[in-house]
Amino acid sequence: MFAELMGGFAALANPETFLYLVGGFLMGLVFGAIPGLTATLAIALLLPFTFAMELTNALVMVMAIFMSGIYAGSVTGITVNIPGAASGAITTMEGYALMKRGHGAKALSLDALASSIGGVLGAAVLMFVAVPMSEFALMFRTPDKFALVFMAVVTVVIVAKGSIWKSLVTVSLGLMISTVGFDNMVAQGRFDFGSYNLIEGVQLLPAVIGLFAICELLLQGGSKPRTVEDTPAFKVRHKDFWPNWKEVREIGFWTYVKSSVIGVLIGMLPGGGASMASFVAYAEAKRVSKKPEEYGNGSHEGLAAAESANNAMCGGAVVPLLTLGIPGDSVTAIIFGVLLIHGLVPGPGLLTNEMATIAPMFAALMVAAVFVFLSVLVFGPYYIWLARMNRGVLYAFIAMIAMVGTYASTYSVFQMWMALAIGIFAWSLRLMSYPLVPMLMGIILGPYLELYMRRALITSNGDVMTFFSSPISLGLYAMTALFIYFLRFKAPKAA
Amino acid sequence: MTRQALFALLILALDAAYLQQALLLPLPFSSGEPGPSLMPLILVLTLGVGALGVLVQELRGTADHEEDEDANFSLRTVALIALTCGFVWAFEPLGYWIATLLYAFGVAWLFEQERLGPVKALLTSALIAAGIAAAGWLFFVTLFELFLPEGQF
Repeated sequence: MFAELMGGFAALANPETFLYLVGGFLMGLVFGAIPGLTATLAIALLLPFTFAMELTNALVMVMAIFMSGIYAGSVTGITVNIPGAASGAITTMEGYALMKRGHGAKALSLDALASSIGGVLGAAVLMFVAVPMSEFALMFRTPDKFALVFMAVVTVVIVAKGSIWKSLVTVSLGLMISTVGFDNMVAQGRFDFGSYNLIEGVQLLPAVIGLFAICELLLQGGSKPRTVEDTPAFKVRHKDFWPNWKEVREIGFWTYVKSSVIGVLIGMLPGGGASMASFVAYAEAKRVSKKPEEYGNGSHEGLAAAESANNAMCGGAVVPLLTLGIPGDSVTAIIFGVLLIHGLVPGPGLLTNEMATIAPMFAALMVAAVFVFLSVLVFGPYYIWLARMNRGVLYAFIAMIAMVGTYASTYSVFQMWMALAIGIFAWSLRLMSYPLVPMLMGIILGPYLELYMRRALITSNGDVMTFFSSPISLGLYAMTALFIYFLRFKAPKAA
Repeated sequence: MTRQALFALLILALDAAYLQQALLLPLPFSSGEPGPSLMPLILVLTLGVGALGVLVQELRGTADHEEDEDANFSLRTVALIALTCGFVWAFEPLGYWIATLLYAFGVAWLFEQERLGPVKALLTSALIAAGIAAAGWLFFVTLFELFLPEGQF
C-alpha cells in the first residue's frame, strides 16, 4: 500500500498531470474567492471536460479544485466581508475584524497557513485510514448498505440549515427525480410520459448544472448592484503575506491539530461539510481559549481553528465516498460523478482493487494543501482584484459554460432544457429558502437507496426484519439516531 | 396565507400529481416482489409529510425565518430565463457562434447596464460576448476536442 501511495506522488511528477494540478488549484482559487461561485460550481463546470481527460488528470484536477476552493472561500470574506463560500463564514467574522484594523494581510497569511496545516493533516488521515475502512466496508451485505445510505439521507436532512421540514421536502424531491426513467429491475418505464428522452432518466450533469450554475445565475439576476463599500480601501504588498511566527506560536500547534481532527471527523460524516467543521472547531477553540474575549473581534486562534478544520474536512469527506460509496456533501457528490463517468464505482472494493488509480488523488490533495500557503505569498495582493471582478463578464461566462458544457458532454439539446428546468425549479426553491444540497443528495443517493431496499426485500421474500438482522445494520441505525440527537437537538446554537 | 404556505400547497399539488403517476405502475408485491412503485409511494409519503410540516408551521406562525436567504425576484431574472430559453432553442439551428454571441451579449448587458447605463453597456457587452464566445470555443473545441454545432445553414 505504501508503495502505491508513493506512486501517487510520482504520478504528479508527470508534467502534464502537474499542470492539471496547478490548473485545478488556480480554478478553485478563482471560483472559491468570487462571491456567488464555489468549489462545487467549479467542479460541476469541470465535469463535462473530464469526459475527454485521462482519469488521473481528472482526479488530480478535481482534488486541487476541492482544496483550493474551500480555502479561497475565506479570501473575499476577509477582504470585503463577503465569504466566497458558506464555509468561510466564521473566518470572515474574525478575518474582516482584522482587516478593518488594517491587518488584512496578516489575516490572509494566518488563514492560508491554517488551511495548509489542516489540508495536509486531512490528506494524511485519508491516506492511512481509507484502506482499513474500505476493508471493513467489504463486510457490508445488502441490508447493511441500505442502512448506510438511509443514514446518509437522514443525516443530510438533519444537518441542512434551517427548517427540517424544508430539508425533508427537498431530499424527497431529489429522490423523486432519481425515480424518473427506466426501472432496470423489472424493465418498466416510470414517470417518462412516453418521452424517449425521459426514459433515460435525469442525468447527473444537467442536474448539477441546474442546481448550482443556473440557479446561481438566476439568483444573481435578482441581487442588488455592488456598492463602493464592497471594495477594499487600501493596498498590500507580497511581503506582507509572510506569517509572523510569534503569532503562530501563540495560536499553538495543538489548536491546529485539534481543529484539523475535528474537521476530518466531521468531513467523514455524511452531510457534515466545511461549514459545520469550521463552526465546531471554532466553538471548541473558544471553549478552551485563554482569550475568549477576542473571539468575534479578530481572534487569531478563532481564525486558525476555523480554517484548519474546513480544509482538513476535504480529506475526511473523501473517506466515505471512496470506501462506502457515500458522498458526504455536494462536492464529493460531484466527485462521485467524475469517478462514475470514468467507470470507477466508489464503494467497497474500490481502494483494494484500484489503489494505484486512486493514489494520485490523495497525493494531489496533500500537494494542493501545501500550494495553499505558497499561493498567498504570490497572489495575496491580487485576491482583492478578484473580489472586484466585473459581474457582466462573470455571469455571462457562467451562463455560457454551464449551458454549452451540458451540450458538449451529452450532445443533447434536451439535456440543456433539463438543466434549465431544474435550474428554474431550484431557483424557486431558493427563493423560498429551501436548501438545495439535500436535493442533490437525493438525486445521487436515490438509485442506491431503492436498489438496496428492493434487493434486500426480494432476497428475504418481503420480510422487513431483514433490515434489522445484522449487527452492522443495527449499529448504523443506532448511529443515525445519535446523529439526530447530536446534530439536531444538541447542536450548538451560537458561537 | 403567506407565500411560504402557498408554496407548500404547490409542493403538495406536485406530490398529488406524482402519486397519480405512481398509481399507474404495478402495486408493490402484486407479483410477489417490491416492484417499481414501492419507492415512489414511500416518497409520496415523505414529501407529503415535509410539505405539511412547512404548511402547519406557516399557518400556526411558528416558522423561523431568521436564517432565510436574502433572495429576490426581479425582471432581470425573467429576462435571464427568457434569454436562456432562446439560447437553448437556437443552439443547434444557429450554431455555437451566433447563439453564444447573442446569449453572452444579452446576459452581459443585463448586468453591465446597472453599472454603465443601457447605451454605454452595449459596446462593453459586445466585447464581453466576443471574448466569452472565443474562450468557449478554445476550451471546448480546441483544447478538449469536443463537438459543438456550427448551424444548419
